[in-house]
Amino acid sequence: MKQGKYLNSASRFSLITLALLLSFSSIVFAQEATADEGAAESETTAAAQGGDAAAGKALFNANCAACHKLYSRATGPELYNVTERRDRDWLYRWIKNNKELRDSGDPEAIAIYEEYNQTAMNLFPQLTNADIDDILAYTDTPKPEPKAPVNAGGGAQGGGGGVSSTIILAILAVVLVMLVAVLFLVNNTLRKFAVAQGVELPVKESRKPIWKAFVENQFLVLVCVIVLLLGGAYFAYGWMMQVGVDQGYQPIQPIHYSHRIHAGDNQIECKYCHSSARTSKTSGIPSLNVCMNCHKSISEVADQTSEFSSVTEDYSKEFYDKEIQKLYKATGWDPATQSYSGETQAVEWVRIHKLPDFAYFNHSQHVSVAGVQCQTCHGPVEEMEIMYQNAPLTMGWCINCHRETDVKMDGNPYYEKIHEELSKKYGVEQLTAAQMGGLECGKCHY
Amino acid sequence: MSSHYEAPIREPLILGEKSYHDISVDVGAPILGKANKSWWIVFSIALIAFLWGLGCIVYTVTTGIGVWGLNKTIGWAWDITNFVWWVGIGHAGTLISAVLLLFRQKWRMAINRSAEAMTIFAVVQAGLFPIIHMGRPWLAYWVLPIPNQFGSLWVNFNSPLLWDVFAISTYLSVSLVFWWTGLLPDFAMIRDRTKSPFQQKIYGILSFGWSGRAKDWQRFEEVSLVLAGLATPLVLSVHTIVSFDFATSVVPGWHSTIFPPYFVAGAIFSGFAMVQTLLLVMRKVVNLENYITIVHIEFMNKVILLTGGIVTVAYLTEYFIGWYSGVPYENYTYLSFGAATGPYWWAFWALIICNLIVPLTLWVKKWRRNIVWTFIVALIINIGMWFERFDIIVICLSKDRLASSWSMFQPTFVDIGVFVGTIGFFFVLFLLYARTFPVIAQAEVKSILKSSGARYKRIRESGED
Repeated sequence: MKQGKYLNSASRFSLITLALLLSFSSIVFAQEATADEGAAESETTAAAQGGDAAAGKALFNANCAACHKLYSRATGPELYNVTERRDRDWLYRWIKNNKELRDSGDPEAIAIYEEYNQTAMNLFPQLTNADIDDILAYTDTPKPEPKAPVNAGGGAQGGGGGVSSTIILAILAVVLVMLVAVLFLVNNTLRKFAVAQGVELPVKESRKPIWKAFVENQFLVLVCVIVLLLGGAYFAYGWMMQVGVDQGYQPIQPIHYSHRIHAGDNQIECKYCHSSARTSKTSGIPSLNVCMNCHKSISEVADQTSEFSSVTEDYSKEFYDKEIQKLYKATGWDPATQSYSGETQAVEWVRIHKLPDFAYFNHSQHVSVAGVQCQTCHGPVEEMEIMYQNAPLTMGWCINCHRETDVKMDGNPYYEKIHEELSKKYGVEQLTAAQMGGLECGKCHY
Repeated sequence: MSSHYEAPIREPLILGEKSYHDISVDVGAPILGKANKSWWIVFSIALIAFLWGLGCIVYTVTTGIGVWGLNKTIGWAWDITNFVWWVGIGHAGTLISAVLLLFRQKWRMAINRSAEAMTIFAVVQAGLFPIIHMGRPWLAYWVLPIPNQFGSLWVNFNSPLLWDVFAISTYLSVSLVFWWTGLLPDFAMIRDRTKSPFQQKIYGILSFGWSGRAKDWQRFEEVSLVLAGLATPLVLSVHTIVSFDFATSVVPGWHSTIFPPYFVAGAIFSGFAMVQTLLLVMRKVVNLENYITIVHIEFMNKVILLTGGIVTVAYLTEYFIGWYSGVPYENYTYLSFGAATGPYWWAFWALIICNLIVPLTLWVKKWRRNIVWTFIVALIINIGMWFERFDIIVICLSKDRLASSWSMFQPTFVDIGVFVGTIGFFFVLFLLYARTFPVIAQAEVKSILKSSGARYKRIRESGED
């Protein structure tokens, strides 16, 4: 599936502007809202249980979030309202040293331990009772209501603009058609009146048809032929020059993986997943264990209520959650039992950037040695919802960069001697890749 | 007529009591008449050979160059042999029409049209080989310096094989234009003589509306002279460039400064032999004995003698230098004692006998003017010149510097089939040409009728005018 990259740039531009405007306003509102909420909550909960939910949130994120979630099971059980289910003193003991509690033969503790496949929880002896109170205060925070009304309002406004403009255009078109019809009718009626009154209408002289006049004008014909030939040559050459160029190639992947969410919104460093770019000629697709490092505890995307939400109009939370389930299916992960079933199925990603095998390209040489930014060749990946090929990857494209790019000599002892000699030879301060021999056939094609 | 002086020693070039009208009738006869049975038989044979060759070419291209008998030592054999052979044959046509025009040789007029046709058709055959001998002929367009996606990856202008591309394509196009320009008055003659509306239409298009006004003729002559002046250096340069394919290499026996003039001489030698082969048959079949006379044949034999002599001198020089250089590798070149006694002795002696010894018989006037003997000699020269190219290419490659790479070449049926196919293709084109084109430049022949016609010579001699 090929898609033009900038086909809907106009609408995208307007959307982005709108989104920017909205986000500014909503950020301001959100800050106020959370501040208010937090203040109110902390007052009530602190009064009731003697804990500070805001401080508890920080502690929770630092110590517990790796295994626990508030409203759903993770490695450990969900913690919302745990204070209602368990005795507070029991919780103190459990959190500080659950092993001791289990060893003491506490039936509740052993039951939990068995329920979670004998996965031992970390010990937190450093937490004071006050800290634990704070955390528990935080765990009692009820699930916030979706901020749907605000977003929906914005969405409706944004969408309304698009819909209404087409409607207006349609109305205008109808009006235009009606005007033409009315004019025609008026003209007809007037003519009939004139005939009835005996007024003679001027008869149009039959003129030479325009095509005949054109054919008889040799100069015009010649100019047109030349223009047509030049135009034909232009399009023929243009067509041939794009044969074998896959720029904009955007296939459907087996899992809807969004670089926008991972590399853009969450700012995961490119080389976290594509780690072999530093050391290998192939910057491979990350294996699924890299996915599971995080997705063991992230089984759902943040919904609209969260400030971390990446859900868009085009892709809902349900859509993304279903895609994460595909990952679990591939790795054999069961989020309910928090365990691997052992049934795995490799994800058959569709490769987008393909060079023929007679071209040798080495990622590490470009990434680690030359320090080329990922975006230089792959484009703004962090903005791509679906990955596409940004550069043409033709030889001319490679050559061009080698002609223009300076070699990074600083701090590389390999280049000390050669830099000096070659700089003298070419009379330059900085050597381009071409001057280093980066255009020789054998460098890429052996 | 009284103001005209023509040396009485010159033999007439047009025999019989020919008038201008007779010339038109004689030249137009094959085109306006119907083909006879023997034409169809010969044409069918040529067509079958052509189709067989086409099949061999398709087989080569689709299966790979390995279906030929080439090996790692001998990477060029029949392909380039045939290429050089066909290019060489083409050179006689341009020599006849261009060089002989510059030298004001009236006898060229009866033969230049067919000689040029032979050039065109031979160059077409030659042009096949550079393409089909490629491993990847579908990338042949990469030899042209066209701006492209590869960072404007260009060709290397240092290779004689690239010069070949320019030489052959220029040679073909200039020859074609030269030939066609000369054809305009003759096409116009056919257009005006035919009764068939179809032929009128066709020859009307082919003759570009030639009406034979004085201004047209003046410009026609100027263009012919300019093109002759351009074509003459082409004759020399094209085969020189072909010889550079070998001469610029480092292979013993190839690396030789004598190649450029020697190849050109050999080209004219073999080209004239081919013209003889064709015209001796044609003058009989198309009844042109009054135009292509024994004088023409003798003149061509003299050119053959001259160029054959140059080639002989070159052979002797090569043989001498091979010994005189003192380089041991020169002992196995195509003209060396090693070649004469080595595994390719038969090719060596075929060359010596066909190109050096047999043509010597043409020194005898009686044999030179003997049509049958001329035909036999011409055929032998064609064979001999093929062997010359084969010897240069294969013998020199077979025993090069490293004895561990010595090898022999064994052609496969595909090698032979492709060669036979080009011969078939050549004759298909030539036979079609002989039936549809004026095979004699009647406009030019008419211009010498009164100076060189037998009837007018007789009148002048008898003092009647």
